[in-house]
Amino acid sequence: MLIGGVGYRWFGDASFGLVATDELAAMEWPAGVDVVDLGYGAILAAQDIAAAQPPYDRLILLAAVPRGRPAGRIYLGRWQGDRASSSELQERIREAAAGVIDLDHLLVIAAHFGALPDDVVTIELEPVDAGGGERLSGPAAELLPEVLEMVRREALSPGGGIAQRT
Amino acid sequence: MCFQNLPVEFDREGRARLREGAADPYAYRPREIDRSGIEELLRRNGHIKDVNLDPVTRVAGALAFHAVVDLEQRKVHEAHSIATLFRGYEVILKGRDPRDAMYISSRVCGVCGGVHSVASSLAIEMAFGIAPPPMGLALRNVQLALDFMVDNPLHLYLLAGPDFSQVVVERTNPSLWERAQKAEAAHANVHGFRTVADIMTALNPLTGKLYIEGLHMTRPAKEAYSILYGKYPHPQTVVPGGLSTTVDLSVLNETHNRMSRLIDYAKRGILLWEDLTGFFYEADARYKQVGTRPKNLIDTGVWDDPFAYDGTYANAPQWGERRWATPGVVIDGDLVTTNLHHLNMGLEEFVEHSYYEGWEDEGVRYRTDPAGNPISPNHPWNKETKPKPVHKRSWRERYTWDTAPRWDRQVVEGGCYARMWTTAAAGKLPHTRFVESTGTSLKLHAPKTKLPAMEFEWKIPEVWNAFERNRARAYHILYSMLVGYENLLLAFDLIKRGDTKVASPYEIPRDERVGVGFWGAGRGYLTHHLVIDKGILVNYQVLTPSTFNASPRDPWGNGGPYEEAVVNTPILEEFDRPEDFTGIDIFRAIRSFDPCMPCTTHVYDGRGDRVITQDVNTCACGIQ
Repeated sequence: MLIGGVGYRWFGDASFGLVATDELAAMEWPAGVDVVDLGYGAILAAQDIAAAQPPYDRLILLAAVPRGRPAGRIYLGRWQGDRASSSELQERIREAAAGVIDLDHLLVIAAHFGALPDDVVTIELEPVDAGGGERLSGPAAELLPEVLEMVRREALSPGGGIAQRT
Repeated sequence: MCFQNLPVEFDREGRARLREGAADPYAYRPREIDRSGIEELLRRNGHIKDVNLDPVTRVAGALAFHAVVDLEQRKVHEAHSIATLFRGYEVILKGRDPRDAMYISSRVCGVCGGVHSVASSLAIEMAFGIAPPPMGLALRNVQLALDFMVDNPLHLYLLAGPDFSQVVVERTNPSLWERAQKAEAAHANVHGFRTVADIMTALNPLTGKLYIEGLHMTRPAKEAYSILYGKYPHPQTVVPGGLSTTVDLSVLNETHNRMSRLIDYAKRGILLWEDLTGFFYEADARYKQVGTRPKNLIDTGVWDDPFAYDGTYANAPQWGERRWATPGVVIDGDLVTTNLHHLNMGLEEFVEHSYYEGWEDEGVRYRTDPAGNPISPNHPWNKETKPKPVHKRSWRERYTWDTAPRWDRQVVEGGCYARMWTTAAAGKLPHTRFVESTGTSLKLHAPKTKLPAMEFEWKIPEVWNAFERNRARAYHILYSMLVGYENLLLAFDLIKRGDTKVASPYEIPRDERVGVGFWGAGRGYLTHHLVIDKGILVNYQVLTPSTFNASPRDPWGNGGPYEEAVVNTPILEEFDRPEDFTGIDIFRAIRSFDPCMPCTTHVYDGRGDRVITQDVNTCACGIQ
């Protein structure tokens, strides 16, 4: 299983995924569970996921994604594996190649390269504060312990955590 | 005498001084921009269109472009480059511990973060009075070559390449596509594509062989980078005085394996772009005008000689000329200096057409550099970043978040090709194992890898345009790999000698100091200027290649390099109806610079103390 954070460093709530995986990486994990910072570009991250041996059978990805939903809440989702149109895919590759870090870029590009396992769970924060800075907003910081516990429960007891709540 | 416009002269010993007799030697009077002619043209002629090309970089819409195009005469009358986002790193870094700069400035770019880290460390080393040991410098050189190895192929095959692909050319220039199908590729025996049409098909986005290979070849470069420096693109191992990593034979062997593959890839790439460029020139000589502008280029040089670099400003002219890429400025095709002091003295940054306030009220912090050479009040060591968003953009007044950096008050461009040009023209390259400077060309002696040993020669071009930028970039991939390879071999030698120290100790000085990191990105020129006092950063200024290339008009009304290149571009696209116009020639012109707007801009929310990442309107419609 791979637990990955996606986002930029020091960008307030936009860093939520990385802040979460920083905390998770400091915890003890059983063999077979990797916790990594995936905020280094969708192309390179997808290549790394694809190259993993043995392949990951499950991905849990954490990120802040503004989608116009009520802010300051966590949204759990399961990647449905929808294929993007070729023009959308090309645009996403171009942006990723040029340094734009984005959860959807990672999902679409990794899916295109066949890097994703069937089981991909996304944990998204709808950001409260789109401003920069080294800290999360108050509401996002308050949600963090719950999210860490949620991920940990799922990783240590597959099917007993996120999957039931999705 | 390298300066034509600045009030600087040199005595018999070559010491610079201000020209005598001028009360306010750097004063200038901004010229008002007159657009009445353009506005009249637009009013009277329906076929003359305001064209907004947005986004150009496809990087989160950070660069927009406005042009006035005569679709009958197929001519561009006017062009404006618009950086739509504010880069706030200068503001963020002020007041911080200087050691934060490597990690924060790295985030200027998501692709070339490592080059910013190193530029920071160079500036800090100068201010602290330290220099890395030879192994630290050799590995820094390998790191830079690997950085370029990610950036340059991404540009050639993912960002610029699609503009020359079958799906684009067949649509925009059907006659050219027909011709390409009959055109034999001269170097088919090496790259394997029989016709130029085959090359164009291989450049097709998502499906083309070259496009896909471009994606995949970033991996060995990134792997080698991660093995040596911990991670890519934001290494945490760059520190003042060297690196915080350790190195042994197995690490160097892992790197060596990957570099061999990359050298093979680079060999093939050169011949592809040779064939493609030759085809366009032969099909229509007017393609030599696409993206053309004066041969004015600037580069700081990169890749320090591990046994010559001492990190001091005083000796910068000497260690600069020992680099594997020679620093220099080219004006009208002539190399006017290779001296890093001259290069630094000539820098000024202007904000008359940008969303910034001037800093005149702050006074002038420095009248001279540490060597006593005069510098301008607009020099980066004096400049302050004072953002001032405006409600409505105006082509006459302010229209961009980019500033207008100039050298000797002339419009110069940065690019990886600029360092090839200065190195080739200077004939001073001290390291000739794999690269040779002839005064008019760079000879590249590529060793045997999977492909046999091969000789290449990049000649300083007679014409300067979009095609030459891309062709030179293909050579630059091999050039940088060969320099990286030579430094890797040097690292092997140092290990054999037991010389494995990678960093030097330092203390943070408490007095006022300045420093400048003269370094380079895959896209060209890069400097970080800093001032420290009482152990903290009191000023920090970043100049990237895109700051130069995407710059707006300067106080004298001269457009920046993108703007010049687009105005000089003929419209060669085939179309009958205005609605079929795609602007491909303009896109080729701009993209040939490898535009990277994250380097130039960041997002500003107008409140002065925060950055945001959304709600950015990049549409240029309705601008005055």
